Amino acid sequence: MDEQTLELLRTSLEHVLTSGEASSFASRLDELGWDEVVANDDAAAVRTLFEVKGASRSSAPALDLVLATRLASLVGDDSLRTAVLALGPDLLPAELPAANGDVVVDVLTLAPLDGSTRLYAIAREGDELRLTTFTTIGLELHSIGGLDPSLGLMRLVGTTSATSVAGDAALVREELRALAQRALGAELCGLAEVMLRDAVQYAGDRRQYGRAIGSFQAVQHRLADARAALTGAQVVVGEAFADGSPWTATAAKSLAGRGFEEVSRQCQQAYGAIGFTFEHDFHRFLRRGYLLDACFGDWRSLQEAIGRELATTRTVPRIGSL
Amino acid sequence: MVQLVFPDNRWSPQEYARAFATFLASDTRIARYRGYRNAVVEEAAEHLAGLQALLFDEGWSRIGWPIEVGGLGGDPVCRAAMFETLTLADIPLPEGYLTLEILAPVLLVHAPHLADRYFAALLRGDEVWCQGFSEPDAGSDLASLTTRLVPDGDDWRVTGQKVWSSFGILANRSVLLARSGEPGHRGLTMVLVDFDQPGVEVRPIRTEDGHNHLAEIFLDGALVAGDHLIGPLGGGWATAMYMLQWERGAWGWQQQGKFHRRLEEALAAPGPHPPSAEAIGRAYLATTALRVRTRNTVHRLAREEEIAAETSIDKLLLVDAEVQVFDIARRLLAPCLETDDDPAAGEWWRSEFLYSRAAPIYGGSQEIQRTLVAQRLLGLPREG
Repeated sequence: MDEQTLELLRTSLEHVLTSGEASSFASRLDELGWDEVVANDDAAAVRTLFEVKGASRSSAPALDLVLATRLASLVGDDSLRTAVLALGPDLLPAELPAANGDVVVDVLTLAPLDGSTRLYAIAREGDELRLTTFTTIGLELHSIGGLDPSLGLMRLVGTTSATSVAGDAALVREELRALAQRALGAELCGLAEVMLRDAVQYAGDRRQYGRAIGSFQAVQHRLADARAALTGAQVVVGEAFADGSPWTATAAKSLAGRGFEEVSRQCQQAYGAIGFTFEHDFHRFLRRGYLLDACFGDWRSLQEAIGRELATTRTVPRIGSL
Repeated sequence: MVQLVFPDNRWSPQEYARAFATFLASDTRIARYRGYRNAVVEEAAEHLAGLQALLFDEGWSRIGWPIEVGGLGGDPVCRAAMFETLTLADIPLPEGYLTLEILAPVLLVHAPHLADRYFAALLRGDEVWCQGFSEPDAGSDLASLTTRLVPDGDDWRVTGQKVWSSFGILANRSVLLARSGEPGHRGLTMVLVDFDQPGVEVRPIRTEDGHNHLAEIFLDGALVAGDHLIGPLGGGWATAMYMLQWERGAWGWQQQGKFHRRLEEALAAPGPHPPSAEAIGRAYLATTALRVRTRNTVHRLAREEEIAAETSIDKLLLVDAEVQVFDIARRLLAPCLETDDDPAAGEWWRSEFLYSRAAPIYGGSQEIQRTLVAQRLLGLPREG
C-alpha cells in the first residue's frame, strides 16, 4: 500500500471506528470494503486498523472481528465469523474445564454481548484440548467497569453445553494469539503516538519561568526517551506483521507495552498536575493502554517468557532480515 | 587457491549472504579468523588485516560499492549482508570495516577524486583512516573546535590538537574537521591529513579496559595538499553531519550483530548464578529493536534518503542495547569477568564489557542525541 492509499484508509477507518454503535461495527467496516482492503494487503490493513483504533481510543470490537475472521478461515466454518473469543480471568485466551459435553465457564469478553452471542474457547478434558463454541444462553452476564469502563468488558459465569469445532486446537490458539499480539501491539503504538504528540504540544505551549517548559532540557530528554522507546516498538510491530511469526508477535507486543508505559510515564510528568485531573483526557489513554497491555500477556510477562526461552534453548533468534 | 565462485553483483542481499556463507564454510584460509578473540587492539588489527585483504581479493567486500572506485557494483545492502554473515560465522569484523562505513560514503559523495585514489586501498585494508573531530575543548560542542586550517600557496597547513580518535594509532590518514574561517559552524572545512609527515604526532590513549582504542593527534603546521579538501571550503559542518548519519545509523547494524552474538555466547556458558529471565528478555528485546531499526536505516541509506536527525533514534536504541547486553553477559558469565585471566576468555570479556560503558558517550553523547530528538524530531523549542 502506498502512503496516499494508507492515508485514505486511515481517514475512512477513523470514521468507522469512532461513529456508531459497537453492534454495527462489522457492517460499517464491510461497507468500507474491508474484505477488499484485506485481500490487497492483509498485514498493512490490519496494522492500520489497530493503529487508528489506538489513536482514536475507539471501543469498537475490532479485535474480535479479525480474530473470528481468522478462526473461520482456519477451521473452514464461515458461521464463526461473528463469534467472540472467551478470555480467562487473566486476560489470556480461556482454557475451560470440560466434561460430558459441558464446559465450566468463568470468562471475560472485550466487548459488550447480547443474549445470543456465540463464544469460542479452548476446552480441556484430561490431556485433550479441543476448540469449542457456546452461547451466552443460561450463563450469568455481568458488565465490568474495570480499569477502562469505556471498553464495556463482560464477565460470563456458569456451566453450559458446548459444541466441538473440528480443527487443531493448539494450532488455532497459537495462530490467534500471534494475531492478537500483533494487533494489540499496533493499537498500543497508535495510542502512545497520540499521547506523545499531545504532550509535546502541551510542553511547547505551557510556560513557566517565562519560557515554554518544553525548552527545558529535563523535559526534552524525557520526551526524547519516550520517542526512542516508541519508535523501537513500532519498527518491531511492523516486522511482526511482515514476518507473521508467533515469536516476533510476542516480541512486538512486549516492546509495544513497554513503549506505551515509557511514553505514559514521561508524558504524565510533562503535564504536571493538570494531567492528573479526571477532567483531563490523559487518564483515559493511560487506562486504555494498561488494559491493552494486560491482554494476551503484559510486557514484563512476555519479556520474561522470551528470556526463559533464550536461556533454555541457548539460541538468540534474529528478528528481521535484510 | 582455486576461486570457488566469484561474486556476482546482480545478487540480492539474501543471495549474496548464502553464497558468502558457503565461501566462509569451505575456504580453509578462513579458519584462523573464526572464533578469534584478542582484546589487544594492535594485535587484533594485524591479525584481521589478513582477512580484510582476503575478502577484497576474492571480491566479497567489493560488492555493494561503486565500480568506478574499485567496487563491483550491486546492491549496497550486500555490505550489511557481509557483516551479518561474518558475525553469524563467529568471525570478528576488522576495524577497517567499521570506519569504512562511516568515512567512505562521505568520500564518494563529497570528494570523488579522493575516492578514486584511495577507496580501493581503504577497502582492502592497505590504508587505515581515522576520524579527527573532537578536540580537548570541543567534544559534544563540536562547532567550537579551534584547529586552524590556513592557506599555504596552493596547499593548506593545519595546526591544533584532535582527541578521542578511534583506532588513531593504526591509521595512516585522518579525515579531520578544522576551522578555515569565522567562529561557529560556518567556518569549518573537512580535510584529509596524511600522518606520514613531520608536523603530525599521534599518541595512543589507553581506555578504561587497558587497551589503546583511542588516540590524540597533534598537528603543527601539517601539510594538507590543495586537493585534499572533502566537500567545499567552509562546508565542513554539512559534510560532517552527512557523515554522522552513517556513523549513527549504518554502524548500528554492525553493532547489533555483535550484540546478538555476545548474548548467544554468554547464554551458552552460564555461571552458577544466572540473572532473571526477565533481565535476559529485556536485553534481547532492546537488541531486537536496534536490529530492526538499523535494518530499516541501512535500506534508507542505500536508497540515498536524507535521514539526518532520525539516526539519533538509532543511537539511543544502540546505547540501550549495548549497555543491557553487556550487563547481562557479565551476570550470566559471573565470575568469569571478575576472576578469569585467560586472554581469550576473562580478559577478552572484561575488555568488551568495559568498552561498552562508553556507549552513551561515543559518536555523540546520549544527552546530545536526546536534545536532537527533542528539537529536530519532536519539534520542541530550542529556547523559551
